[in-house]
Amino acid sequence: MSANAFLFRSSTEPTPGEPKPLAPGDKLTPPTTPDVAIPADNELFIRNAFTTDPRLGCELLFRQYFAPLCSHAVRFVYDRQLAEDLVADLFYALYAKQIYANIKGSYRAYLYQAVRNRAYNSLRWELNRQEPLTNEMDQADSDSAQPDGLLQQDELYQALEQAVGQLSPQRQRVFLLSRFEGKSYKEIAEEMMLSPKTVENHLLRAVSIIRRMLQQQRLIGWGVCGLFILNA
Amino acid sequence: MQPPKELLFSYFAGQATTVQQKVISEWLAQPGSREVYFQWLDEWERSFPQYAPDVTSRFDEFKQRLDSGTDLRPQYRHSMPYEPRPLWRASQWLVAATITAILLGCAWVFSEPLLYQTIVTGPRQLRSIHLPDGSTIALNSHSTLRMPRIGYGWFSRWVRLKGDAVFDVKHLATHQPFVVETGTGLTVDVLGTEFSVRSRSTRAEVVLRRGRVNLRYKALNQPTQQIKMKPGDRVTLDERGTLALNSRADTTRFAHWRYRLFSFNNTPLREVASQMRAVFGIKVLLSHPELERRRLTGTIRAGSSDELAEALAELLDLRVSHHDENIIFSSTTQTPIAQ
Repeated sequence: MSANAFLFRSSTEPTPGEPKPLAPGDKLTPPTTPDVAIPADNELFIRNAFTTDPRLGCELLFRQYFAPLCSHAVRFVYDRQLAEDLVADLFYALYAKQIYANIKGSYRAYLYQAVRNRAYNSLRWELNRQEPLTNEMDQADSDSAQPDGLLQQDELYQALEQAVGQLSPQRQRVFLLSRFEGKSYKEIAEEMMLSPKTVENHLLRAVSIIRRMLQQQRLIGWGVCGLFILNA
Repeated sequence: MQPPKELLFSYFAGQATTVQQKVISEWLAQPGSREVYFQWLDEWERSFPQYAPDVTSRFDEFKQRLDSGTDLRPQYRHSMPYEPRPLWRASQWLVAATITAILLGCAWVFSEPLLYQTIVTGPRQLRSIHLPDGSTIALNSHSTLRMPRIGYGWFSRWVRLKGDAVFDVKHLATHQPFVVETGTGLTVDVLGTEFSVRSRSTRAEVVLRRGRVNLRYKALNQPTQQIKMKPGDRVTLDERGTLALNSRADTTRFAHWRYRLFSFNNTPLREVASQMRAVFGIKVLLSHPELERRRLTGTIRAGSSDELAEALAELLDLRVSHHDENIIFSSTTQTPIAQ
C-alpha cells in the first residue's frame, strides 16, 4: 500500500486486514474471551478461608489484591506511600471491623469500590481540605455505589491523569519524583539541579493547576468552594 | 448488552469516546454489571500497573498490625506543602485590596492633617512658634499656619500662611531657602531675615525689616512677577492683584503686636479700640461717646485682648466687661446700662 493511499484512507473506516489502531490500553490485551458475569469463582478458596479463619482470609486477599489496588489508588492520590497506606488501612478495617462478613458480592468488587472511596476522599481532602467522610466509605453493601458514581470516579482519575500530563515537563518530573518516588525536596533539587525553593514552587503550582482543572470540570469541590465564597 | 472487554480497557485508559462512555454507562445501570466491571478493572490494573509496590514488606507490616490488634492508623503522609486554597487566596487578595483602598482613601481624606501640622490662632490669641531650625514665627490672632509634619528642613523650609505673622528666619549654612506661601498667589522666598507677612483672603502685605527677600506673585493666567525687597520695603497686594512697593515704610512700628507691646502716643480710645479689633479680631465697645475722646499714652505689654483690656481699664480707670465676643468699656462712675 502506497503512502498516498494511507493518507487518503479515512481513519474511521479501517480497511479490513489492516491492524486496527490500538489504544495504549489495548496493546497487551489478549483476544476477547467469552467472559461472563460469573462473580469471583477464583475467590471461592478465599471465601472458604474466611469461614474457617478470617485472618487467613484477609491475608490471602491482601496477597492477591494489594498490588493492583495500590496501582488503582495511586491513580487518584498520586502518591505511592499514601496509596499503600490507604490500601493497607482498607485491609485492616476489613478484618478489624469484620466487614468481610457482610460482603455480598465478590471481595474484588468490594475492595475496588472501597479503595476508590478512600482514595476519592483522600484526594478531596488534599485538594479541598475537607474532612473525609469516614463513616460510609467502607460500607460493605454495594447499593451505596451507584453506576453514576463509578463513572464519575473513572472520570476523575482520567482527568487527573490529563491534568498531570499537561504540566510542563520539568514540573511534571518534580511532581512525580516527589509523589511517586517519595523523594524529598532536597533530593529532587539535587537530582534536577534546582533550588529546593524552586522544587517547592513547582509542587505548589502543580497541585494548584490540578485543583483548578478538576474544579473547572466540576469533579471536585464546587459546593465547598461555594461555601467559601459565602464565608469570605 | 455487555460491551466488549477491549472497550472497557480503552475506557479505563481514558480513551473511550462519548458514545462509548454512554454505552458503558447504560450497561452499568444493569444489574450484575458491576461485578464484571470490577473484574475487568482488576484485570486492567494487573495488565497495566502504575507501579509495583513492595507487597512482601507491606504484607509483613500488615501481619504485624493484625497481631498487635491496635487500630493504629498510620499517619497519612501528605508530601505536599500546605497551600492555602486558591479561593481563600483570592479572598485574601480581596481583603488586602479593600484594606489598601480604605487606607488610601483615608490617607487621601486625612492627608492634610496627616502630612501637615496646622496652627490656628483664635480671635484673642497670639502665638509664637519655634521651628526646629531656630527660626521663629510669631502668629497673630485669626491666623492659620500650615507646615509639613515630617521633612521640614530636609529639602525645603516651607510654610503656608493665612493671616498675619512675623518671620524671623535663621540663615542656614546650606543656604536652604525658606518659603512662605500665601493663599493669594504671593510667595516669599528668603534665606535669612526678619519680615512680616499679612495675608487675608485677597489682600496681602509683606514688610521686610532686615535681610533680603524675593517675592513671587503668580496670578491666574499671568506670568510670575518677581520683586526683590530691601529692608524697610513694604509690598502690598490689593484685591485687583496689583503689587505696590513702598520703600519707606515705618518699620519702627513693625508688627508690634508680636512683642505683645501696644504703644500709644496720645491715642484716642476710639483708635485703641480699632487697633484691638485689628489685632485680636474682637469688637471693643465703649459704653459712652464721652469715652471715645479719652486719650492714652504709653506702651502696654499684653498677650491677649483680655490682658490689654485689663491694663487699659486700670490706666483709664474704666470698668471692663465681656459680652459674647465683645469687650465693653464703661466708666466706673457710670452705672452699667445693660448687664
